[in-house]
Amino acid sequence: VTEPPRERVDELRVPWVHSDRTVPRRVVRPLQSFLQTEVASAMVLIAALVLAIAWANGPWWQSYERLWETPVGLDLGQRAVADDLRGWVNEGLMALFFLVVALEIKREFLTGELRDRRTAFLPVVAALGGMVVPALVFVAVTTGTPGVEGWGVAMPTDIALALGVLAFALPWAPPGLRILLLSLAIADDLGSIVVVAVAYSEEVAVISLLLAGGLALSAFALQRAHVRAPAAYVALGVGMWLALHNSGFSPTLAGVAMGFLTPAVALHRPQAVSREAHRVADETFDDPDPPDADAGQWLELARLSREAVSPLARVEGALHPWTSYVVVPLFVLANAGIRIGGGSLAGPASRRVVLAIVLARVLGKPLGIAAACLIAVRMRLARLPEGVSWGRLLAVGAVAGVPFTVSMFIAELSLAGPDLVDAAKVGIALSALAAGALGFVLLRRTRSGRPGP
Amino acid sequence: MTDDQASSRSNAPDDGLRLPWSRSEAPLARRVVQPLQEFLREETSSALLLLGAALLALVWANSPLSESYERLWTTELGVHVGSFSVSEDLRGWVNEGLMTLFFLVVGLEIKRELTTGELRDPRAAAVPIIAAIGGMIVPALVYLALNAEGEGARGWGIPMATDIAFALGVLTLAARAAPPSLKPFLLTLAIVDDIGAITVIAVFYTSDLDPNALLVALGLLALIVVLQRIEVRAAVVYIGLGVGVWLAVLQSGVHPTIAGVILGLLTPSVPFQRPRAVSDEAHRTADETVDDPYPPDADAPQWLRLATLSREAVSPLARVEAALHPWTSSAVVPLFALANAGIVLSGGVLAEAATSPVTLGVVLGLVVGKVVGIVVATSLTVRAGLGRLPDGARYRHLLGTAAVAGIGFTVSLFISDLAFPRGGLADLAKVGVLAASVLAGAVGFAILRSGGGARADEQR
Repeated sequence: VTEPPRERVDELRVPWVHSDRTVPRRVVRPLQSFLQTEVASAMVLIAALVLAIAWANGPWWQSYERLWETPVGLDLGQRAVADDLRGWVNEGLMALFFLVVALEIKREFLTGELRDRRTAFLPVVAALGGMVVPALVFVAVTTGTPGVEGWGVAMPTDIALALGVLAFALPWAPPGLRILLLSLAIADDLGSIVVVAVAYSEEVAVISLLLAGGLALSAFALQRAHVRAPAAYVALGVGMWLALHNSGFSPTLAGVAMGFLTPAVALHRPQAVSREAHRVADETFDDPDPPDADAGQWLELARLSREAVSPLARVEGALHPWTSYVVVPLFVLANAGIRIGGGSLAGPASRRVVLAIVLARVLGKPLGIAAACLIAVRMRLARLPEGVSWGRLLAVGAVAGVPFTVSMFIAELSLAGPDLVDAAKVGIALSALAAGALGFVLLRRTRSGRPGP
Repeated sequence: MTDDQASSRSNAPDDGLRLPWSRSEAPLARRVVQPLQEFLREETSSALLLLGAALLALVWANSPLSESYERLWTTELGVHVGSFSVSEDLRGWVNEGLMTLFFLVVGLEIKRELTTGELRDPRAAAVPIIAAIGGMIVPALVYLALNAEGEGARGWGIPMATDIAFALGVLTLAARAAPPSLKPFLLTLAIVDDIGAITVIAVFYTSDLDPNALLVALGLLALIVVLQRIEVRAAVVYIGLGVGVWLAVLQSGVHPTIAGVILGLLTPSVPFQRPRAVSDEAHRTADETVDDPYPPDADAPQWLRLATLSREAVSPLARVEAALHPWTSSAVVPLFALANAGIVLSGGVLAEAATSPVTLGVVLGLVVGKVVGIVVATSLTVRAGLGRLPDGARYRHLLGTAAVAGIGFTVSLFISDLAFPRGGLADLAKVGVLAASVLAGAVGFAILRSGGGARADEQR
């Protein structure tokens, strides 16, 4: 094919990042394709963790606390919503993270792996075993100390880190293995949300709660009435967040509620939109006069094409890059800066918490998952997926032992006193390291052994 | 495959596009929402909405509930980060915050006129340009003649403005039978008038300047130009930078709405993609997607890509205008009128206004000065052979249009608050703006109707 010398009018103009210039070709695009891998989101988390610890223990350690304790607020007359910067990250931005988590859960249950009750049974049972056993281990170790309140810290699996470890250890893992880990972790997330909502709410302000419920109902009613303007739902979500902010519940639950309320079905049949696309493409001109005479048609087509995609996929596509590369790293940066040797590990209760988390994650999690699966399979209630041997199941259980974002979140929520919270964070970091290494080694050992059918 | 599916599904009830509730056959949607939307699309309706808001404000401020009016609009709303804070009362947020969006749309309109509209060739548009200049200078001179000295002199900018929405609304309402060329004439005139008003706001009503903040604003604007040059297209980036420019201008002492005008002028008026290239993509996407993908949303990336490309077939200018114009004309400007037109008329304000040179200057400037300025400037231009009257228009039409241009309303009220401290002289000026706007509208309406009536009657 020869390039015509004049300007090609029928070619799309690519933006700078997709152009053939040196910087986009050598730097931006390789970075983009790296960021799309599962290893990348795990690496970003680890980088944020290392940065937070280095910052909090380096020569500028005072600026760390000063920055995250900067008060940020909004006042209207006598009313005020105020918190420090860390609070806005933990309760504000993290609502977006939980929104995406809820979208993932909803998608998996409606159209994904958890849709079919028979195939969903195993990961759900595994997730249950992987939550109950670590919590029991934690309570057993810390019983009698104030740290026992933090039993929820021992439960959640970090999806990003766990998938990163799996992708790093077995780049060509059988799809059944990855799906098992993903659906297990998603069922686990659902459990964490229930724990946050039910077990770790302070005394509940009924009126605020009713208000939030009313807003959720009106979001539902608006959907029923086919109101499609995203602005309406964004406003309702913000309202729900504000209502929950005063209710004693974690306001991040507003994100969960809005996520579950997001429809998973496209507003239009794709076929109807296809017909419109042909029509607009035929009826518009290349050089309209006045310019933008066809603007109405093009903008209509843009809206219809978006409506050929389910709101769930649209919101997830729009938010997921932000939550995994901005919100969660910021959360880690704001919360993981523990001062080592700051005396937080001095008390016996603190040491108990660290020990409890490490034991619960490194031993409790894989044993709980494997035991639950073993019982389910022995009772002929479920079968192991293709390509998953018992050895690999145990390895996946170890990988699922990697805690992080949600555990840290629950630590902030559940434990009283900065010493215990810091101890829990140390425990989380240590067990992430230990469980990740254990899972990595176990997965590598199963690499050559192809499991039979 | 798509065609097979298409034929097999052609009988399915949900074959076509699904209408949103507002366009459905539900009684509430059909009886209330659709007529309301229809009404809001009309040109006269934004004028009526504005008028309604101004009347509501007047009634509210003079009713037994008047206390709540002042209490609401003086409620403080603030954002603070550490020791940095931005705090204003609600009226301030409307006048300096939301009105920035209004001026952004004005900036977009000016840019469109300059690049593809009537003002592209200034010589062809000489008549409305010169008419607008005459319609600014004469009212200012009339005002200054009455307020040569004293505090009141600062208000000379008030009678210079023309309210585009209001003026076009009255023209449309009055002149169904008048030559259609009057509308672009008035639009061009009003846009040139807006340029003048913006210059006046930026240059003459700027309090002490903070050069550092101004430098930050200029730096951010330069950054926007650079990002546009390397074809960064993400709207989020420009919204973020735009908010930054607004904050910097707010700190600098220049009125923050100027940030909106400049951002509007910087918005590109050429689409990123050739429409033909997008048409090809639209055909391809329509052919390659399936009606019932598995998993559901398997085609999502293709559809979202087509949505992006279709938007890029429209210039950013038209896109931003389509997104903002409904909001500015049916929410921002009525809110502005509601927040600012509520003058307490009791306590001798009316009596004071009747003899005040400020009120009188505004009224005479808008009602008499505008007409004289526009008519004289136009006839001089025509006599000098620099241009012609709008097609089919006679001097009677010109007179009526000039009177309609005396509806200063939004921008005049806006400048009243800039020129004078709130209360006192500002209230007197606002009484003048309201009276003059009603008067100018009525006079213009009457003149335009008086001769056009015969043809209008024939049509009925």
